[in-house]
Amino acid sequence: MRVVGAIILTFGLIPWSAYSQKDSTWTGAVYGIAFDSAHNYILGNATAAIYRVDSSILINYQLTNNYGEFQFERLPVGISLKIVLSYVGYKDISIPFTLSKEVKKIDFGKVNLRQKDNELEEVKVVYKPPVRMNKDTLEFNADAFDEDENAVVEDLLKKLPGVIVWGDGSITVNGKEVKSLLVNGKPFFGGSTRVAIQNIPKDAVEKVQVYQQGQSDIGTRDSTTEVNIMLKEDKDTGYFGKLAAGQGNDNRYEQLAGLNWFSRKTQLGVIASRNNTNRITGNAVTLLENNTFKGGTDMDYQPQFNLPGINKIIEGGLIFQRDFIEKTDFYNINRLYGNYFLSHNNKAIDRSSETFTAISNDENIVTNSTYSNKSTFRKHRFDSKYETKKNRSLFSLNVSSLFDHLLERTSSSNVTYDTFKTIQSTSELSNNGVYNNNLLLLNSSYEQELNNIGSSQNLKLRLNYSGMLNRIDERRIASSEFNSFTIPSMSQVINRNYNNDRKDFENSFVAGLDNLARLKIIGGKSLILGIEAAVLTTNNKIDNKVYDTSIIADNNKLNPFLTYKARYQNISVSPALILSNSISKTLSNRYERGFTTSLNIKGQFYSQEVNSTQDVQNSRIRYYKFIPEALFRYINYRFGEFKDVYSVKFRQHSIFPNAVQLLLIADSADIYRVRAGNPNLRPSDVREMSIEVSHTTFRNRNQLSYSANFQLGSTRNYIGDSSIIYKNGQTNYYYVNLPGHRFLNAGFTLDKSYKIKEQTLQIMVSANGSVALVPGVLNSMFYRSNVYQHVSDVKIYYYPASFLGITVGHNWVSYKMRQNGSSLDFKSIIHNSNLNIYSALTPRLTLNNHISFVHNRFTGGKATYNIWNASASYRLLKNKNAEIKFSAFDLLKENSNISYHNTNTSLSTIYNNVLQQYFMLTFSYFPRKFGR
Amino acid sequence: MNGKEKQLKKTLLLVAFCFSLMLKTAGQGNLRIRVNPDDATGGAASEIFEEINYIPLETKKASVFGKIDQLFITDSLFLILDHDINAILIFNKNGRFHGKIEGGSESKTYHPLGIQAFFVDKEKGEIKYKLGETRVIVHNFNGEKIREETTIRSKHVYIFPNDEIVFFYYNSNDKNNQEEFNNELAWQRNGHTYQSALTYSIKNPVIATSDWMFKNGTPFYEGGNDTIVFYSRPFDYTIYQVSPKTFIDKYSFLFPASFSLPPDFRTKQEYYGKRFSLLREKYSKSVIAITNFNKVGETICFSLLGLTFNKNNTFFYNLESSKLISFDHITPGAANSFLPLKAGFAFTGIHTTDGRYFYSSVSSADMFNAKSINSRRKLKYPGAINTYFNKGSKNDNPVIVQLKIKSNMKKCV
Repeated sequence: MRVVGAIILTFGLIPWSAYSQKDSTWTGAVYGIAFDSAHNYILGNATAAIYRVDSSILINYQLTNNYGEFQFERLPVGISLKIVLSYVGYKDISIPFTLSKEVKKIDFGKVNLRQKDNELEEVKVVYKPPVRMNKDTLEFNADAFDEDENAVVEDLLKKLPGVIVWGDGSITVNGKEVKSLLVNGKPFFGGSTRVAIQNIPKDAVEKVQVYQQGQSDIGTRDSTTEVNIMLKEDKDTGYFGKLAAGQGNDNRYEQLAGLNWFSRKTQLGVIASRNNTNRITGNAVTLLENNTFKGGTDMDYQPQFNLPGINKIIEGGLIFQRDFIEKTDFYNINRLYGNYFLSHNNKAIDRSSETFTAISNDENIVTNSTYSNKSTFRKHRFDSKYETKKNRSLFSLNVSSLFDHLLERTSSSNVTYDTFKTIQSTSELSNNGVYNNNLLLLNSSYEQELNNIGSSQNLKLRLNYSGMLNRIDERRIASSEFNSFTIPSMSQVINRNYNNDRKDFENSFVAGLDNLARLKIIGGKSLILGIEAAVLTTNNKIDNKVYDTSIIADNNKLNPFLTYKARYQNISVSPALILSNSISKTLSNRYERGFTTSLNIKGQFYSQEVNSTQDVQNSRIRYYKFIPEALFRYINYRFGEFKDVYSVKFRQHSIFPNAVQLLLIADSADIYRVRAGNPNLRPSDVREMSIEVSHTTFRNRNQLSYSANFQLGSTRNYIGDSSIIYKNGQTNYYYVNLPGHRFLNAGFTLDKSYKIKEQTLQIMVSANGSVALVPGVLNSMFYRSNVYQHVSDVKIYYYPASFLGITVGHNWVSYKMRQNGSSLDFKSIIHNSNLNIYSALTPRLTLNNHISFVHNRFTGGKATYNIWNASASYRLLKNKNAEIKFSAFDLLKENSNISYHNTNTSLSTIYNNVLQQYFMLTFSYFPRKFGR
Repeated sequence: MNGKEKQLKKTLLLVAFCFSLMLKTAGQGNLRIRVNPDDATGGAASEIFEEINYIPLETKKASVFGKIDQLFITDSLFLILDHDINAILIFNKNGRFHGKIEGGSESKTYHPLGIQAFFVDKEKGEIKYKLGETRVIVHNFNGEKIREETTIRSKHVYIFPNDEIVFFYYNSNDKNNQEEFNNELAWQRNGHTYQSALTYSIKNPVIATSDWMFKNGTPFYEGGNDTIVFYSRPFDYTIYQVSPKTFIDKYSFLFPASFSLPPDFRTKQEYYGKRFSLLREKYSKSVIAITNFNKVGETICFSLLGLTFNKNNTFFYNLESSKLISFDHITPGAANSFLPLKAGFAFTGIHTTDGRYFYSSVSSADMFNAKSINSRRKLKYPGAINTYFNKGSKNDNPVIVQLKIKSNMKKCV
């Protein structure tokens, strides 16, 4: 609910300058009090605005303070000015005045405003107040802010006092982050802030409303800030889009067409893109976000120079939203949302690699490979959501479907050497296949509060059902010729034809009753009791038909080992008793401290059955697992200052082996990685403790937030690999249960922002690392590896002026693996630094420079390269509806993509064919109309 | 219960019923007060109040509290209940901390708030609060526990001199109650009920707990002398005057139609359990109840409870001149050093009166915020406030505000 009472947005007596040409001659000042003499009271939060008489230009404005006072300083002298006072429900009053060198200050005393006689009384509006308080909502009047005629909402927001649009796209109002931005009370094209504020013209906006929306958070008086863009009545229907075509050297191209239409109740967007420049978004909303009228300075939408191969990409999507009630609000929603996305990628990869594999302490092998892949991957994804909210009940239904189609032809040649560079084996492999995956997902949830004791104590019924139907079929022909020189018996020539089908059907049903009862315990304390039951069923049907083919004999022979029909079924029933207790201590106007304990006493009955035509796969197992959870959380909330949250969670759960891990039959055609399932696998039992700490400030300026989390745990019966590596490069893998798996994960984020006059600086840091002790079996010897991984990311957004944006980023990824009791020690470190400079030289001419400095270091080598992309774009036509853009990519011609792949026993260095220097000229047109 | 007792009880109930009719009859001819919140005037604090005093309440480890949920004023003490810390704090009239009665964990076994409300026997110098239905804990004015008593079950109690007690029986959702209360109010002397008022069937209530908007507030408000107390209830625009002998529907409020609930909103059985939804959907602008009713001389002060009465909800009304002043529209000025007159965000109404002053309070956060805004005015604060600002902080206890209204509000507008 909207917070009742005063909105915590203190704007009073802060003059907001709307006119930037102040100089030292502006020495005048005016004072006064807004007053209703008929009722004998002052008017706090009335709007006072000063305009030039000759041009009606707004010079300065403010809201009156609690005493009704306004106070303007640094006003121009010798110019005819007027002050306009306005207040909701009152007639505006305008007083002309001129400050002179002799009379530099004027005290207007009590300025009387008169109430409108009735609500219907029309008053000729001459000056719209730039800002006003309307009950608990702060409203900015868009027309009062002079902007370029082609300005969009983002430009308007940047002008509003207290509002900051940060470099990462987030918005804050007086230091509070805007959690949701709505247009006419509704999410706009998938709820994307960027799509709304970078497309909607400022002229279509009636007002920008800022208000607080309540939020239940274990009883704290938190609230979230929302912004609603109210469109003018005649502008609430319209369309916007982008048509773009670019052609470059080396036959590079990119094309885009998008059109989005909206009305009061309906939104429909269609967008499609085609390129061979490695620009991939993966969903319609991201595609929309990266093709707005305003355009971005973001460094994330660059061609992906590290993407392997040459990719010919077609992406397209459709967004649909229909509100069945015109005026939606927090309590009333009735909305249907649909999203369809198609992606099509023709890929050609040429790769060479060198893989170093350790067999023992003093033995290793090296495999050199060349690999070629040509594929066509087509993916259709459809998501829909219906939600309705009324009378303390919430119902939502999600239906998603996915259709993947992959056509692939791969071939590789491999040579393996031993430590003394003696050739151990050679091979020629090829694989031609078609893969289809059709998935249907359904999720439905219903919540109903069954009484009304108080928002956090209400008896609440929760029901959730989700279902999944998945069908995978695989048709492929694989051939391999393997020559093993040291172990000639392993040499083989295999040609196989695979016709594999798999159907998965999963159902999950969860029912819960929260706040079912209060159990009295010692000392007047009580525990809140809730219950929950979850039922999960899985049904996998596998029908594999594999033929051994012989080119010479021209006949197909069914392979009796790889051909089988199997049915894997499991059912999991998890009843839970949830006991929770919250103790909070509140001292009004000072703090609220709360300690929450929650104990989830949960069991899991798990039954698993495999029926297969291969006897070895048949099994029937039942487990009962005790999987309790305990949560301790402490919240320290200092009103108006900060909020700290500390939580510790203990959890025990089991990971059950899946169908592949149980049923997979070793296929010798795979040569280098022959993997087999294990029907005797037992579930892994994971015990973990996690700790989370977060701090958020609620200051009006220069906010700071940080959070840290740690996860510590061990796994019993860890499902790992037992592998046998032969000198000829062949490796056989077998899933086994292993003891001694331990892990420690840690994460940290920090967000600090500064606003100094017109300059904004935002620093975002994130770091995640893990240390794990991973068990394995290599050539029948048990070992444990210490694996260290770490990813950290720093981004600094600096906007010294509206025409200049500088973004600096640094990404650091490291990996280290050391096998205990051996000399095996793999390392790789990648540093990737980015610098992006956006400069709008004129309102029409924009330059963008993006430089990446990549430095890779790994066991046995290092690689350094820099990628510099630059572009210049110029807006044409009166409405800036057209753009011509020249871009140069990889100016330094240094992209030589090298990547690394690790396993516990090997390190591969991979060289792919990649996108290299190209130039492109792009022409774009932005069709747009806001209004009927 | 034997037959005789039953017979006696029936007789007593009949007598009580007759009394209630008599009492009701005695209330004919009440005063009609027309209130249009939109027409309320305002003014400078100096125009409306003759005297404004700020009394900072001493802040030390034992006396720290958050807000004032109930204020009772004796000749020499402020008695303050704060649900935040589940304690009754005792301060001298100069703000010096005197003692504390802690509800402790035991009180929370009876109710999540612990001490819900307290009542005072001024004659004996005793502070009493109830635990559960029948336990009454009695402390003296030093905060020391004296004894425990038992009493009949009732949510709220008011004690008049001479041990005459008025009980508030209202317990709207108690269908399983074994006792047969047929009235909201009952008067007792020496443990015997001698009169009752306002017919109410506890076995077949028309108002559900979820309908009732201010379950924890006291329904009794000080009348300005020892023998009068005012009583208000939800969905009823009448203020009742209760004394040891009489029960009068003293003031009938009339609001413009847009602020008014339908006349049968309180009594209609079909609305049982649906009133909150109805209020939200159909009557969001309506006055739900008149609360915090206090009277000093010819001025009454009251608050309007409603879903949209966030601000502008408390009014002073002069019974002679019919002038209506909104507390929200009274502007602090030089007379009170530009300091706030009431709580900002969480203001629900005047706390009480001692017959001379109306009492409100301001949090130290609001006081220091005002001091910060006032820094450009170069003010000189009066002694106690000056010391408070120099030695205290925004984390100090709330400050009590004494407001002495001008006797003739006609002149102020």
